[in-house]
Amino acid sequence: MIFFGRHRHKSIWQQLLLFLIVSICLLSITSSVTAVWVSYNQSRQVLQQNSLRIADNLAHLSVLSLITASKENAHDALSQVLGFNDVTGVAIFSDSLDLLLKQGDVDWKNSDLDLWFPINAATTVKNTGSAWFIAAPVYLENTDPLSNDSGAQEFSLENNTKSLLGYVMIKVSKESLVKLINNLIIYNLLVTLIISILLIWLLNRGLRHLTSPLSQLSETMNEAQTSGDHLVAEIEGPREVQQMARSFNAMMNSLEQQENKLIELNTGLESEVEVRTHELVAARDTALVAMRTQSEFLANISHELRTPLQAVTSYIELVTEELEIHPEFDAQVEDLNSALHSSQRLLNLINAILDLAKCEAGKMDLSAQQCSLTDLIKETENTIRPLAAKNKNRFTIDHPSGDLYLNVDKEKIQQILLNLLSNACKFTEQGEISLKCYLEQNKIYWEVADTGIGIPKEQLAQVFNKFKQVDGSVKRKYGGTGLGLAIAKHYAEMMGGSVTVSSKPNKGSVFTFWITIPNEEKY
Amino acid sequence: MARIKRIFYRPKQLICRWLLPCIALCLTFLSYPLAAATLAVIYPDLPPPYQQVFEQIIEGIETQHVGKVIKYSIDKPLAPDALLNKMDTDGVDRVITLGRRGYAYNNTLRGKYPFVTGALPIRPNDISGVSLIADPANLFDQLKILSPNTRQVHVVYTDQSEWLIEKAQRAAAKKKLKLITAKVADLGEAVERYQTILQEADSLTDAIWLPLDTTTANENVILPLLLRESWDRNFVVFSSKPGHVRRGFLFTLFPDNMQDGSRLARMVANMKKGEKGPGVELSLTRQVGVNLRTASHLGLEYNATMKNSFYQTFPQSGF
Repeated sequence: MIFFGRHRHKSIWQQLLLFLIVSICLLSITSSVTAVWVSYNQSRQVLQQNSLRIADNLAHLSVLSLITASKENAHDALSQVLGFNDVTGVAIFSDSLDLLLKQGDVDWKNSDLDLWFPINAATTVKNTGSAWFIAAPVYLENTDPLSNDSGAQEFSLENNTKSLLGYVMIKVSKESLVKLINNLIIYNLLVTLIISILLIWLLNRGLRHLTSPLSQLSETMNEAQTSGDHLVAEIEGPREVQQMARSFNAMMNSLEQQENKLIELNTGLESEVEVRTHELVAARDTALVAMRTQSEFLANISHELRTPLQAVTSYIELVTEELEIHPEFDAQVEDLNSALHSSQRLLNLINAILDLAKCEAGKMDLSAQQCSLTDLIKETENTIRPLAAKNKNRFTIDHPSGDLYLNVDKEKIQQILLNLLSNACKFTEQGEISLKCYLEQNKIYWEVADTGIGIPKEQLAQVFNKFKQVDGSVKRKYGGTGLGLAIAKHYAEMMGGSVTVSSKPNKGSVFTFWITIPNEEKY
Repeated sequence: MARIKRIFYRPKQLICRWLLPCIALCLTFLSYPLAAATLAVIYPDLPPPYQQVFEQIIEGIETQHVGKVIKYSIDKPLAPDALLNKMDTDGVDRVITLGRRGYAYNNTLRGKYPFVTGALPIRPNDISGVSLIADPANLFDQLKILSPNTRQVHVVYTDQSEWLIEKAQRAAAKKKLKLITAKVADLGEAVERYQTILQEADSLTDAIWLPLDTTTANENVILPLLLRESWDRNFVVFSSKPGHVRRGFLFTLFPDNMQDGSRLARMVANMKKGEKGPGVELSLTRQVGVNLRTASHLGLEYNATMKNSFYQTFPQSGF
């Protein structure tokens, strides 16, 4: 598994080929080593057995030389044995271990002879790394070696006797064995290498051929994934691969059908969206034009209304001042004051409509100037405190210690605060109204809280709409234009801030107004 | 009375009715002891081809012996007492032992039955029988036929073969051959003696005879030496052992088993009659086996008639 884990990114035929190559190599090495080992053992045994037979034959040939104690006869026997390739030395001993003759390269110590002899049959008396020393006893027998079976014995009165005449010893070199093993190793490795290369070549071709349908299927899948096309794989190769190709083709067909359906749906949707978009754009453009027209109309009409109204107000004030000198016209003065008051309210309404119209028309500009936060709050307090006192409300202010100079549109901030606080005064009786100012990170917050009638939850979202009050009864009871909060929200948003509200009916409301101030502004 | 009168007064009727039956009855009674002779043959039970040898000997015995022949084929060693009991039961009155297993019962039979021994190269001792050793006279006869130029025969022997040498000397003399003998004590001496003969003798006129002697005809030492040297020096070598011709000597004599069997039956019959045992008699066989290859090598040529007279020739076809 480790083997495959390391090669998981290779193709299946590469993995199979790698696995088979490793297996073949292991098998080849194992079989080669085994073959060499078995061959070595067999060759060693054969050589040793042959050497034992040679020693036996030499013993047989040496009988005459030992009987006659003749070195000449011994020479003949030893020469015959020395003719064998691996025999490098030979020697003949008498039964008392006296050397009769030695030929070739064979050495021993006298003490060795006492250890090696006597022996009853051909024996390896010494085994060195390079040679075997094999000795055999030389017996004289009186029987016919060609008719030595029990049947032939029945026609003879002589018993089989054998007497020890001496010993022979041969030294057998292992050089040919070592050479044989070296050759075996080389030839085995060569044959193994050639067979392995042939096998690998055959396997490579065979596996490529076998796995080509799978590779083609894989390539088709990969191409389908890359291109997004619904390609069809060729159905060929083994049964399993054909099954996979069929499944893939079925899946591609299914995907194609679904995609066609999606394209159809999408095309329909796009057409509809386009139609709707056109309609919406037209509606938006119409609305914008209408709003702009409305704003322009409001601005124009407000301006046109305010000019004569200011003239009316001025003349009423003028008449009122003249009549106040004469007490008999007190009743007229009071009427004129009512007219003046109504004119003032009408003027305020027109101003408010004018401001709102400017905002919506995008014509309201900010005029930033440096102002003191303390001054701003103080001026606001001076304006509001009388209003609070009117409904017997307690007015409290909480602001940061020290002063902060802000580069803002002071008029508009003051307008926002006045709108919020005047509302609080208006909807609160004998309660508490508070203005809290605080800084948080790079924002400055004004929080206007009251303990007034509050706003129902469902109407909270609408309080910032223009001309909107909680309900008609409120408008009738408390008066007002319904434009103050809308204007406040417009101004706050123009300055990068906002106005939020939270309220509970009969508990009071909290309006929070905040704007972002630049970091460099300091106390 | 009337009946008696008829007998006396009618001689032809007398002869036919009374005399001839009486004579026949008497002859029957007279021949009874000969027919009752029961001969036991004790021999080893061997597989072919050895069994054939004993069968031929027994066939020879049966041609000679008038009476019953009981065969005791010894497969496993049989206790001597058991064998004696069996022979008593069978009414055996004479015995022939054959082969080594039969020879082993000689001491058991001694004093109880007349017995002779065969199918062995026996030498003179206190037993009687026919030896497998061929009579040297017959050997020399064959030598004269097969190698006419031979004048001298060399023989090396030990005590084991000394009894034969005297017979050989006489036989050689009769054949106008000179038998040169050399007695040796051991194998070493034998080798030296043979080497001397081979070096000194004349291959044209001299031949070497190998007696049946375990020392001077040692299978492992002397045979290879003589075979090699005689081949190199063109010496005529003949042997008393049948197997040697197969190995390359010029000729030998093969036993005549039927003849030996017949002689054994006659020998034991005479002993049964009370005659003294004749001792060991040599095989009188004339069945000669010749190695034609050796003969050819030696320059000896035989005509078709001669070849047809040979009992066996070597090398045999197929070899």
